[in-house]
Amino acid sequence: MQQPVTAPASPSHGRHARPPVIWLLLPTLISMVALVVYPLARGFYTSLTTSFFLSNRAQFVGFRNYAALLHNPVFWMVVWHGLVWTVGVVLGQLILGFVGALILNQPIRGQAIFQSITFIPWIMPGVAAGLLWSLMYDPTFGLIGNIQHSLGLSSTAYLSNVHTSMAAVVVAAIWKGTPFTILMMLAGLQTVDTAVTEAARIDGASWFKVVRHAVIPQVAPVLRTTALFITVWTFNYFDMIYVMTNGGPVNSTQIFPTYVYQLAFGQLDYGLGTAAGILSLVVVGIIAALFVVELSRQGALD
Amino acid sequence: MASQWLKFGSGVLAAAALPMVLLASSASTLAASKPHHHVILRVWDMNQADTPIGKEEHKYIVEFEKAHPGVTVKLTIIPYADYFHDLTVAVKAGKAPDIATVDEIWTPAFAASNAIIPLSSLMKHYHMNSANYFKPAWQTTLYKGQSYGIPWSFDVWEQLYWNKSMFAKANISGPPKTWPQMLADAKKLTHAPNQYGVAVIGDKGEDTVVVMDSLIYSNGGSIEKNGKVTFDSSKVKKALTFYKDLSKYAPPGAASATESTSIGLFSSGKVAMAFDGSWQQATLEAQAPHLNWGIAVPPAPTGKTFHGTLGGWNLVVFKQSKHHGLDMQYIKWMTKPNVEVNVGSLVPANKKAGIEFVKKDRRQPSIILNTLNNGYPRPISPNYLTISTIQQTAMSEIWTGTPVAKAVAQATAQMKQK
Amino acid sequence: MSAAAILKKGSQYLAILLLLAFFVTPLAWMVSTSFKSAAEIYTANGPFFPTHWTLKNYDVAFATGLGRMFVNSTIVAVSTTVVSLLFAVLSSYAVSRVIFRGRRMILVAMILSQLIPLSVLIVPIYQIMAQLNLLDQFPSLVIAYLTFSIPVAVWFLRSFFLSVSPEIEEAARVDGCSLFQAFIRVVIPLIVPGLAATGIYVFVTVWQELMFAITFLTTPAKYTLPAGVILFIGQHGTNYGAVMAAATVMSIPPSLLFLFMQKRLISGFASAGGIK
Repeated sequence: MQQPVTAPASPSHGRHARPPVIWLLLPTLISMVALVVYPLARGFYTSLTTSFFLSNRAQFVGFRNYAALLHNPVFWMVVWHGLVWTVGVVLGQLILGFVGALILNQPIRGQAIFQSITFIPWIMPGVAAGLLWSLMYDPTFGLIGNIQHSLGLSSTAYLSNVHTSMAAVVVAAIWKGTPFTILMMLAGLQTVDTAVTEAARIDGASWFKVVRHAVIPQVAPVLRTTALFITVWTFNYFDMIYVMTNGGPVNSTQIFPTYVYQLAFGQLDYGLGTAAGILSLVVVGIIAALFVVELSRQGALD
Repeated sequence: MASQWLKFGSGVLAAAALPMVLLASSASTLAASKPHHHVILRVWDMNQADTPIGKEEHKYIVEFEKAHPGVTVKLTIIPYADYFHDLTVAVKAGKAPDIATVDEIWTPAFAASNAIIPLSSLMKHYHMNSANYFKPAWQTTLYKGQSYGIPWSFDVWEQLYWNKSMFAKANISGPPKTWPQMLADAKKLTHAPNQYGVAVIGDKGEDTVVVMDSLIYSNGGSIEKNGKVTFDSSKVKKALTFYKDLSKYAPPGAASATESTSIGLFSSGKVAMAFDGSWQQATLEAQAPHLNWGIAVPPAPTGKTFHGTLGGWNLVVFKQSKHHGLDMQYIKWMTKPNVEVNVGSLVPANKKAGIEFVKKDRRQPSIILNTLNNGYPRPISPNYLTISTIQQTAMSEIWTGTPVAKAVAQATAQMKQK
Repeated sequence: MSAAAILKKGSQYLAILLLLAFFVTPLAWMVSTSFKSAAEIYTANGPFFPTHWTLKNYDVAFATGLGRMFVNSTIVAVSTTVVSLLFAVLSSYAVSRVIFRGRRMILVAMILSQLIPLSVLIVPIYQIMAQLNLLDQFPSLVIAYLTFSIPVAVWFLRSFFLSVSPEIEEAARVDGCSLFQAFIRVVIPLIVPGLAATGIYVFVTVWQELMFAITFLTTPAKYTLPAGVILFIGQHGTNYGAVMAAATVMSIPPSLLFLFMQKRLISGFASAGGIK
């Protein structure tokens, strides 16, 4: 952090202006060290011990918890489910959010009210949303079962079946999170240069072509940032799955945050739980690293 | 120039600190006003969704404070859904309360890690007698031969709720007494998709495990015995096979059906039978005032006796407390029969209060008292929560098609690792 | 209007309708369920709307202190928003304007910090709060929420700072402003929409946070709204009616606020999205 220079330094301007970086960063750094780095270090130490939650006597065992996890098929199932869940929710939110924003961007009456309504799921506490969707999916008392029933179909217990449970929680999470993407995309669309899209349209391009070749490139930066943020949050999102399935049936919806919680707080195996938490950071760190390399290649970090 | 930034930065910090100070001040003045010789007893209890326990408890706390000058009881009531989490975090961080209500299945874990203290000598000192409590409830407080808690309230998780109108319509004279009868009745009572014979509970939760255990116990099996895993037995497999067979006559969705779903199905007249504790009588009266229902001792395998799974809460004293004697006096106060009968959502564990409570508050009290005395606790082990998780997974594997023998074998292997 | 125009308008409305159906149906079901009695909620394949409307769930929800929780949530969310914006505006300016060693590392670390499961961090943070004597008090939440509000705010605000051309600052400096004066008088006013958007974002995240809230707060009078939902989940059953009533009450005021602030907010988010 030595020798800060302003960017870009104007050559015509003699003196270098140097905002005192360290003072600017200090409040943030102090809070992050106290609230993230220090707890994480403590967590890492715990992960090297057999710490039964309630007891403060922990025995140092090195990487034994890690080895146990890596040899446990459930762990690898959680890695896989974490990927499926994250990719599913993020893709769903991006596509629906983008299309939704295109639609809501049309100048029609009642637009503001429509936008506000679609905004509600995002503000709702995740537990409430999870309970709402559990009730929706209930084969006997739920709305979806009712609709199937009135169409003469037999009801399906989506949360009860290992083949549908993940899809069911993904749909619920898309519902909950998409409003944020819509908001970001609506914002992005405000900046789209209409001259470009009009020109494309006059050239006789179809709506899809206009969107693909004229709109998407212009909103690409927003898409990228949004994707980064929702990927991070989705991977670590706990509330909804916790109330809807608690990771079941047969671990079919078990993802890292619920798995770590189950080990550390549900079974009181604090050492194993924190080890799983640290490993999840490693797994996703690799993915994030790829993303960051990409961002940096595109110059977003400069 | 740097000084300007510095001033601004410290201004920011001050601005940030201000709301903190303001928000925190009210509490600290309160704490400061307490004189030093005063003893504060910190008690934690949990609250179920619909039954506010606190109100009743406060009444007796006021009386306790009157009888013990210089003592203030600070009762913290935490919603059930957070309770275990909050309690474990507080213990881990060295901020445990002095006294708390803990689920009997958590008691050994707290005992094994020295978070709570054995109470035998204190009991003697304060003239408390274990014979005053229902024996099955008392057993749940024992860990390595010592008693770590005073039973507070308990019940058996299973009565057989049966819909009298549906049974009459199907020409079945009364509730089934044996497993084969139950399967036959359930089949007769099923007219899918409008009506089903029975509701099963099978989600990933403790409510599933208690039904599994009751079936296993009634078939003479066990989960573990004297620290040895006994899960991989033909008795266990037969019990779980029965449950799986029963689910043929249950509405779809066994693997996500909770206790709430099950009693909901019963109250809505969708199923003819359901397993649940006597506490759901109140739910049925509220949700389905016109339903014609009764309870019965649940069926057992032919020639065997039914054993329900016990559930309940113990009062424990934390090691971190600085006044164990006073804690015990408080527990003695709250477990007096005339207090217990009015506090708590389950059956008082004190025999006298319990019998009075069941007779006053429940329909068909003799059936409930019968099952109470016959109930078995879940494995009393500090690793119980892991055992339970393994059982939950085994059950959901069985629902989703894994052969019972395979699921049981896998679960046994995992239990042995612990 | 020509046939083609009508068709176009019609298809626009149809698309909006489909989209709305996905978002609104669960919401409508939530509101409708909140007016049903327990008996009606547990009616197999029951009607969408209640046959007998009841306010009982709202009575139950408000009896647990929903009004109080509303005030608490507002206090916590506003304080967190203010504190994290103050911190983030400084550090974000630093990482956006100045090239220094470790800058990228800070940016990346901030994203990575959001990937740590809360279960790993919560006990040490709880211990810190216990040492500071802040348990069961709002500041414990405000401080804990900084773990996620600051990184996000830094990233969001960064795109606003990047959108302010350095020449504007330079011009102010030429006019005799110190760097600090330029920051306060020129840069900050330009990023006000960004502050608003970031602020709303932080506010909404805090508004629905559950895990810290239920761990740190133990006095019911101090509960925030999501902790209030938990009250209705019991060991032997969930009071769905009350949950739905509470969820309805929690969602309406912020969405009204959004309705009024919409235009400004969207333009704010426009820059947050990284448009330079």
